[in-house]
Amino acid sequence: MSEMALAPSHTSPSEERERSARRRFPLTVKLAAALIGLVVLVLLVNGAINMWLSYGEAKSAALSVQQEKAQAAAQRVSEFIGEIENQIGWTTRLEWSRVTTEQQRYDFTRLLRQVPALTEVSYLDGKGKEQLKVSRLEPDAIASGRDFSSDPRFAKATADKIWFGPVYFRRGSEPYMTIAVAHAGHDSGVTVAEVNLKLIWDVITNIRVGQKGYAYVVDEKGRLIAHPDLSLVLRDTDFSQLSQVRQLLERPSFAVPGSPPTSNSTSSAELAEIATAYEGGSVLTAHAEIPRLNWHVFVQLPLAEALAPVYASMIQTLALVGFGLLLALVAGGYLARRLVVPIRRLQKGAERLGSGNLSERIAIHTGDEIETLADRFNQMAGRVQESYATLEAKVETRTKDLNEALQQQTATAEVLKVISRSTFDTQTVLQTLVQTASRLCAAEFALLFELHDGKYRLAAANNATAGFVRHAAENPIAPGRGSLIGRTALEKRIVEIPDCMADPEYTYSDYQRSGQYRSMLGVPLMREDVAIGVIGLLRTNISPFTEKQIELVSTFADQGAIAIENARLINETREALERQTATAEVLRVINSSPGDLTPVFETILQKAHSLCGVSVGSLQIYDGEKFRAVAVHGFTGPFAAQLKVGYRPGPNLPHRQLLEGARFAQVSDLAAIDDPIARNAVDLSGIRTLLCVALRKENALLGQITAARLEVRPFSQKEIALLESFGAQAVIAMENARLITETREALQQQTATAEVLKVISRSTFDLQTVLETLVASAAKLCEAEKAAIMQRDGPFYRWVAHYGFSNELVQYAVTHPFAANANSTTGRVALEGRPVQIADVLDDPNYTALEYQRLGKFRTILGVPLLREGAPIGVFILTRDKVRAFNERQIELLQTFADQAVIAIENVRLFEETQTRTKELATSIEELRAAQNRLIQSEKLASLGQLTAGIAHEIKNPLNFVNNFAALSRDLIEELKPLVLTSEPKEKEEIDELMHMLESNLEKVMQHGKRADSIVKNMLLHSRESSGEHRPVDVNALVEESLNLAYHGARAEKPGFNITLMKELDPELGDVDLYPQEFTRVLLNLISNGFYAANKRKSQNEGDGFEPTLTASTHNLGDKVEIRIRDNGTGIAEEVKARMFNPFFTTKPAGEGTGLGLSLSYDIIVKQHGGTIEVDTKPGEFTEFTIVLPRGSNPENREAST
Amino acid sequence: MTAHIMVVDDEPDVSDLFRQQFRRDLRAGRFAIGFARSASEALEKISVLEESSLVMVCSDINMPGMTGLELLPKVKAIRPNVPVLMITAYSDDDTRRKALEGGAAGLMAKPVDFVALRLEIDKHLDERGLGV
Repeated sequence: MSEMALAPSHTSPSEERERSARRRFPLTVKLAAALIGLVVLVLLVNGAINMWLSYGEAKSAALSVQQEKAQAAAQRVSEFIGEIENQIGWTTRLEWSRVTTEQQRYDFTRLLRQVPALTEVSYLDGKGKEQLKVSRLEPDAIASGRDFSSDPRFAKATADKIWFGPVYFRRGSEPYMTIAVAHAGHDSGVTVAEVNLKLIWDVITNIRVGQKGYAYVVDEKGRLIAHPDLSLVLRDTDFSQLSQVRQLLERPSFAVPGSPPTSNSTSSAELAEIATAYEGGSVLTAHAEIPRLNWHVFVQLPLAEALAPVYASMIQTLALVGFGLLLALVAGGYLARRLVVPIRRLQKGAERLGSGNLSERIAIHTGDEIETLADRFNQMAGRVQESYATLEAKVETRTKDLNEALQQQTATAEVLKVISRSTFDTQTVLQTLVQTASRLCAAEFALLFELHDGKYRLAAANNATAGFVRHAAENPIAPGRGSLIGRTALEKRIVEIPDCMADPEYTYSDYQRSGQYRSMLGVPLMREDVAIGVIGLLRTNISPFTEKQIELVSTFADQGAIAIENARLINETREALERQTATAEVLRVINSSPGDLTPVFETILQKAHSLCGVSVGSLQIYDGEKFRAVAVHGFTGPFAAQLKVGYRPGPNLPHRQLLEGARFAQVSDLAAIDDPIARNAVDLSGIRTLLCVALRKENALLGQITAARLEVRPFSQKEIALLESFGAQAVIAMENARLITETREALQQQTATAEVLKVISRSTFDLQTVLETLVASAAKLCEAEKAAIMQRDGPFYRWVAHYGFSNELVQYAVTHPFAANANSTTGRVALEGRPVQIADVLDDPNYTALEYQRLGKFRTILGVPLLREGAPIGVFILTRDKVRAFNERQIELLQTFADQAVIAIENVRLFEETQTRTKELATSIEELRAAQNRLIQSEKLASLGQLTAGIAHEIKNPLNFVNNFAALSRDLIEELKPLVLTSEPKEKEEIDELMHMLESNLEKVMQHGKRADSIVKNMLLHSRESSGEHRPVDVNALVEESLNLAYHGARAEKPGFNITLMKELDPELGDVDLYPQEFTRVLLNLISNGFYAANKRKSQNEGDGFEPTLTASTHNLGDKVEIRIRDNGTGIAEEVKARMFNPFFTTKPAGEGTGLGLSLSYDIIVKQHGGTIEVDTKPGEFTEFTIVLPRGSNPENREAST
Repeated sequence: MTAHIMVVDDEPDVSDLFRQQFRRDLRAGRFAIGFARSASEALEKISVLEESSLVMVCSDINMPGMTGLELLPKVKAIRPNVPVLMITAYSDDDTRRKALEGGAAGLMAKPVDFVALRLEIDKHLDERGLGV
């Protein structure tokens, strides 16, 4: 508790927690813990030392025992090996190798009998070959000759005299080892013995260390050789991973084979004494080396067993510690209690003092430091009790002060309440202020003066007599040192005059007399560095004002200033509201009568005047020359009439100033101005003071608004501003009216334009109607009497549509088109490509189209171009009979009409173009259709060809039979003839006749069969895709060959045949790539046709000297060649010519032609070779076939392209 | 041993035509003519005849079922040494090429030139040493 009392108040919560945590361990516990700790520490240290010592002792004792056992085991093994070595020894003597094999065998058998550990003995000669082997297990081998020369048992033994082999297992259970001993003398052989090591096992297994300890043997590689657990050995377990074995194997002395074995004691001392056994668990281990074999005997004892005495000693120590602990607890508890009781008492006493019970004293008589502490507490309590008494007196005084302040604050609060309640009643506020100030400041009088026009007038007073109030009202006080109010206003700070009678500067004795006051206090009401009022407190006795009172009054002054300010703001707001209401009224009127300005102007004037309190005035419009009243107020009679008619402002009138840019101008007395209008105003309407406010839009004077007074009194700034704001309203109204008018006009124009457009769209392709509508509408809309459109025709512009012009002029125009020059409006527009206006053609020296003017009687003329892609294609003109310029809007409108005209003209042009194009298209479609028909025809022919091919094949087979059998039958008849001859003579004649008839019938069958066959063959040729190969061929040679062939063929057919052959072969003709077989067929065909025709003519005109002639000619045409076959035969009739290339068409009598010759020729020339074949003929005179062949290297391709 | 000539044609009149044409040879017993109305019938008959007695086969090409060009390799397979002469109405280049590639001894166009055919037969008979 004492800690708590002393703790500084700023203790952090974390420290607090720390403290309370510390307090959880009371003194008793601390003392007891100290005692117990000490006792336990001593006992533990003692026990630890004891244990350490006994541990070392136990360990070294166990180790030395194991060491001895290991050495003993090693000794046993060593002796065992030594014995065997000794026994073998006598077979290695120098003379032994010289005895007979039989003797040797006998010796070995004996050896086996003497030494039970030996299982097998063999003798290898000096070259390592096995000479003898005697075994317990196998039959003896004599001179087997097995080569052991590279075997270690020979090589190592020869080198080192003796060799011990590694341990191995026979039959899976018996451990064996090979010992090889070299014979004495040079190259005298080796005796090899297989030793059963079971004996060593017995030795090892019998070694017992403690209760659970045992021994085992490992070889130089760490492999297990002997172990009580036989299975480990049989599994050939590797112990080299055990730390104790690994350490041993890694020792350098061990790694060198053949080095003299070091003494057991020294080697074992370096090894780990505590290690992990193979089966796990810590063991105490010792080892001994078996010399020569490099084996090691390990002996190990579980650590727990070895250290059993140490554990006993530990338990003893722990028991001791437990007892010591108990003792310490009892002793510590007792001592601690003795110490703590007086401290508790001290704590309780301090708690009582802390709770305020200061008269309480702590009674402790322990005679030690605790008693001194208790005394200190008692002294402290006494002192605190004393200081309480003085503190109470101080509080009482302070409470009294506070009460006083509270009273004042209450009063102030009341004042504030009043002020807030009567925001709009300044007087009440001020009254309350002075009353309260007077009461609180103990002053008989309290006055409040307010600033008006530079002087301070009485606004509120308390306790003032009526006389004083009247005096004050009549005598406002100016700032100055002579009065309290004036001085305060002057200095703008609180002024106190202790006694006005004694103040040398005070001069307001009349005031003083009516009030009888002496001490005075003045406080200014400040607003933005201006004293807008002063509160004065006056006392009839002489006594100074306290600080507090002054402060209070100044607070009141601030409140007063706020109240006055509020009242001012409210007034201003009210005025603004009134003005806005008036403005709104004006706007309402503007809205309700769009376009008609008179009611608007009247309303504006009326409102402006009523707000300014003016009874007469007017609103006048200025047109650049005259002022004209559109609304008057208060004027009647002739003057008002004069104003409404309009007047030019004289130089002395204030109007001049407005024209020069002034916002307003004022004349205080019109009577003083020398001007007729001013005189009229004064005489007729009694006006004296006149205010003119300008109405402007963007610096242009639109008019003025005036206000006048019938007495001389200038207008205040406020009134002027008010009038100006109404002037602005008037400007807006005028602007609105203008815009509305314009919009109306635009609407009218648009309606008219829409009409025109409708007409245009209805008669798109009737250009004349469109253009006439355009001229008529344009004239009407642009207030022109006449209008016309000229269209360009080469260099001239001709009339295409007109409106209002006489026929005479139109006739004249036909012969007098305009050219693009400055002589006419049209010419100028065409020249410049932009609108041109001539205000008066008679006034323009360059205008020379006077005949037009005479006939048209126009004065003003406007022309705009008809532009297509920037170039004029015509001109649109408008004329007026009187001089009056077209305005911007009208020019624009005309341009729109001109654009429409362009569109119409364009439309028609495009339409006509489209029509032409459509006609062209129709023609080409017709052509295409014809071509298509031709194509279809040729397709039909092609399929007919295929069909005939099919039919031909089918016909050919039966035909073959007909022909074959006919021929055969004829032969048979021939054969029959001699047989028949032998028959009866009387029947002979008849038989002969019948035979002859049969024969001739068969002849006919054969003849007609061949004919059919040839038709079929030709049909087949038609359908054949190609036959033979194409190659470059000398066409001249081919022609000659064909001529010969045909000639001889014809002669063979008709013995009397003759014809003159003529050849005109071009030597430059050269080779042509073609199918020679096919082409020859064509030539033969044409030539034989020619022969036929020429002979036919000859037969018709027999005897008139006609000489049938056939001419074949060739011509080189560059990339083509031409072949002509001409005969002077009968010619071909026109109707035949049209059909002659058709298949099966022929003019020859039945049986003389197949009708396929020309058709086939056509196919070969045109389709196969890509050439042409044409015929020129004149019936009765000649026929000439002309073939043109391309030279091209590949006729197939040509075929494809056709 | 009689020499045989096998004629394959779907037209039944072919047998009369051939018999009458070669009546003297047949009468003289120079050779015998066997007729088959289809390729399959021909194969049957050929397989019965010994190769040494079959002098040649004359086959039409355009036949229902197996064509002459299809028959050709089959005959060649069983009687490799027997010449096969194709006789056809469609003696175009393509058919000729196919026939010769298939191992035909030759191709004759219809109507058959019997003189030429007879020469052909004589040639093969001589080759066999059967010529007279």
